[in-house]
Amino acid sequence: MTMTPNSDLVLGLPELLTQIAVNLKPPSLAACTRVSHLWNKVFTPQLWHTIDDHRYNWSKIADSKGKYDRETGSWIPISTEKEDCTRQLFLKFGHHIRHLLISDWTVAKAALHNYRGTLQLKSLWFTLPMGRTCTTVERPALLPEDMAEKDKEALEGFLQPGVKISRDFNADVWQLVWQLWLVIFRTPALCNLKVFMPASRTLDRVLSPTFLRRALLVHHKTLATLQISYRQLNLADYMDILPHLQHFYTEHNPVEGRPLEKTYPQLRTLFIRAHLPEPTFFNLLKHLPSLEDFCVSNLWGVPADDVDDDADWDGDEDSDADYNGSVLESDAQVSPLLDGVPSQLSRLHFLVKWGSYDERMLNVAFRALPSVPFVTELTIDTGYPYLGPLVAKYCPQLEVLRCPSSLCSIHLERSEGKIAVNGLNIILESCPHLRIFEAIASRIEVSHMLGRTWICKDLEVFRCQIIGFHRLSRDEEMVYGETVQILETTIYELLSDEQQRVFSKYRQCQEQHHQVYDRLASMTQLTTLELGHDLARRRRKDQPTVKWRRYSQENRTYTVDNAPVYGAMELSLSSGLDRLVTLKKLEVFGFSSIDDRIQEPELEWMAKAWPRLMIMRGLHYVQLMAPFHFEDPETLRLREKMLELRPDVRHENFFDVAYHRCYERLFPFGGV
Amino acid sequence: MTVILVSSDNQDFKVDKEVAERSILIKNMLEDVGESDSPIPLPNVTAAVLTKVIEYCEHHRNDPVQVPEETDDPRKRSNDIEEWDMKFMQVDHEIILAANYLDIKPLLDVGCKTVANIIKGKTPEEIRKAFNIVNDFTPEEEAQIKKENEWAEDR
Repeated sequence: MTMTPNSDLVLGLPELLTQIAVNLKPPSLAACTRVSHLWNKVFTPQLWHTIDDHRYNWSKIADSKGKYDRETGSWIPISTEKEDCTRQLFLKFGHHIRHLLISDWTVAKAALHNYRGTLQLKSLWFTLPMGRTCTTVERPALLPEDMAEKDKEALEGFLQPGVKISRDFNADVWQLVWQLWLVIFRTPALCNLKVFMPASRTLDRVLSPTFLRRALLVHHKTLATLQISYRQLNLADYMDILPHLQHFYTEHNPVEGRPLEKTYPQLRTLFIRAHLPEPTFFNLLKHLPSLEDFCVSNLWGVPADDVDDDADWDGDEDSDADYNGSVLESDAQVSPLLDGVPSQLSRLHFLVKWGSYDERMLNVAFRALPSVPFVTELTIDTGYPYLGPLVAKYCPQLEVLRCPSSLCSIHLERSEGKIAVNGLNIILESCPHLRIFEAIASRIEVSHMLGRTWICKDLEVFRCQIIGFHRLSRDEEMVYGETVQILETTIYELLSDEQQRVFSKYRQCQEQHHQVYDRLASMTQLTTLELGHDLARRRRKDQPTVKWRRYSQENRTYTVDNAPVYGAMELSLSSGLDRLVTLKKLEVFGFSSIDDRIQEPELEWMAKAWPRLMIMRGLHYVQLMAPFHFEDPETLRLREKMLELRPDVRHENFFDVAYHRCYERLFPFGGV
Repeated sequence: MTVILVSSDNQDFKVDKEVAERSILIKNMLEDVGESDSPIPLPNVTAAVLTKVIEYCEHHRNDPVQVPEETDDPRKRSNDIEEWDMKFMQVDHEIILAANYLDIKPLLDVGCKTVANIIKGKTPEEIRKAFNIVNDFTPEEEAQIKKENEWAEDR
């Protein structure tokens, strides 16, 4: 945009500045507050509109954790000066806050201290701060003596009868809890409320249901989102108290022992981070007819003996077409529990907590698919082989498939779960509207892929391992190099049998690579292309031997994250990388652990050909056990080259983001 | 059906009613006046700017009418600007003033996003320079604000 003298007009009108401000994030808003007095006046309320102490620099400002003193082996307490400063900030600017998301000790104390400053809140997300000062809140303290009488009245009946009160046990924790409920009481029009204590039973043990009903009733006209884990009220109770409730998040089965008996057409989102019996799942689907978004952590209900152990996990050709496991047999019709009426649900998520890998539960999840024909978005832990045929058959409208588990490495010996081979390709063949295909822990063989047509032309995200490429071995590469030189002075027919064989194999490799490049290049909407994945930073208690690839040289041990995997795609210009020039929208390119053969010329090409590239995974730094291990110098050299070419491109590990991003997206404000 | 719009410098523009009604101001005026051939005066918009605004409305004539959304949630903010719109906005931001006056919400949004994109990543001094704004803070005042807003810096 050209700046003209009219800049003054546009940038001097508060209403236009406010419109501009809604497009900016806090770091830019903070800069704007320092431009001029007028800008300060307009941008300050926008800056304080949403406070989320997980983000930006709050941790440094508040410094709640204190500091660990190595010499004395003790924690240096939080400085009272910092507490005072934070409190002053909230006293001065708290009235601008509309959305408050707190989990930091100092920030929570400062924000809740002056609840009169928070009366305009629309959202309050409170996670009881964890840490050394707050291990348990099971035994409440007495109300502070200096608390105002009307505040004491508001908190009347908070505790269940018979709960023991301690005079000094965790008094500061309880002061925070009292302040939280006072804010909830005093804020007249909360739309979104989340209350999370570290142990789900804490509220159950102390909070009286009568008090909670009274507190929620204050917001019965406005509250649309509630995230709470409190077993003494169930979903029907919440829906009756809060007729406008649209989104409910909880950590336990919200209808335990009391299935829903009437329908609640207002609920649109239900997230349950807990195991759920299969009949309960269908009871909820039946009585929540407007549900759009449904997430359960796990389902159970099938005796272990019934599990089909023959599900095809290996890479046999056409394994998906022949698959005939018990899952398909049992899902032939919409569950009778739904009275034959399919659900209108559009987004369905099954998240399995780490460490609770259980095929049995997922079999039940798959049985749900025939009942949800309008699903456009499906999240399911891992790309199990039979997921492909089921989705293709029952969810033809699918737009988004996310299998966020990153437990499987492209290095089979390092994988912690079974890898589905070819099972998911059928989704690319059958779902024309598919935009997001996230299944980095799954594989598709080249021969399988090239034998079938993908009908999803608007694919934006493709995360999957493609394997089974013809590749020359190192020895064959040497033979090929010699052969090319010989061919400068002689003809093909005079080559030795071995030279002819290698030459012919090279041609095959090229042809196959070109076909795959062309397939990917036709997906011109791609913003993410990720072909490899590794577990370099993955550690589990039961698998302490997960190893990085290492080599020793000059008494140093180097760790290589992208150690070559035979049969993965070569990404050199000579293999045809430049055919991907059509991917002008590409933002993320991942090639961890594949034998990519990327060198300077390839980096130079990518830097120019993909102007929107933001993230590269393949040359990233791997956290090592220094001082014994060192980063592979070749990776370091290439990363530095890329940083020189494109300083704007970040280098990161897929594992760092995969599961967490998915989890954060589903639970945007942390765990329930 | 067409309507005639008259710019501040008295130039007439014959425009399809459907296109003109992308402006809520004009739509309301037409509804108030009823069936009439009278030209609609737009005293705050010059012919040059009106030409551009009409070009925008022509390009977006088939877009669904924007339903006002609850923009309170900052997570919904997106700074994506369509390619055509991006090129279009590279002209002059008098258009923002016109969009505001004529009440063309999508055009105003694109304009504001364009300015926001200019602001992103800049220091206060760079912003002042970009928009020709005079610093009316004392160094002490600016330091105080910087300290108060330190939390908003990127980690």
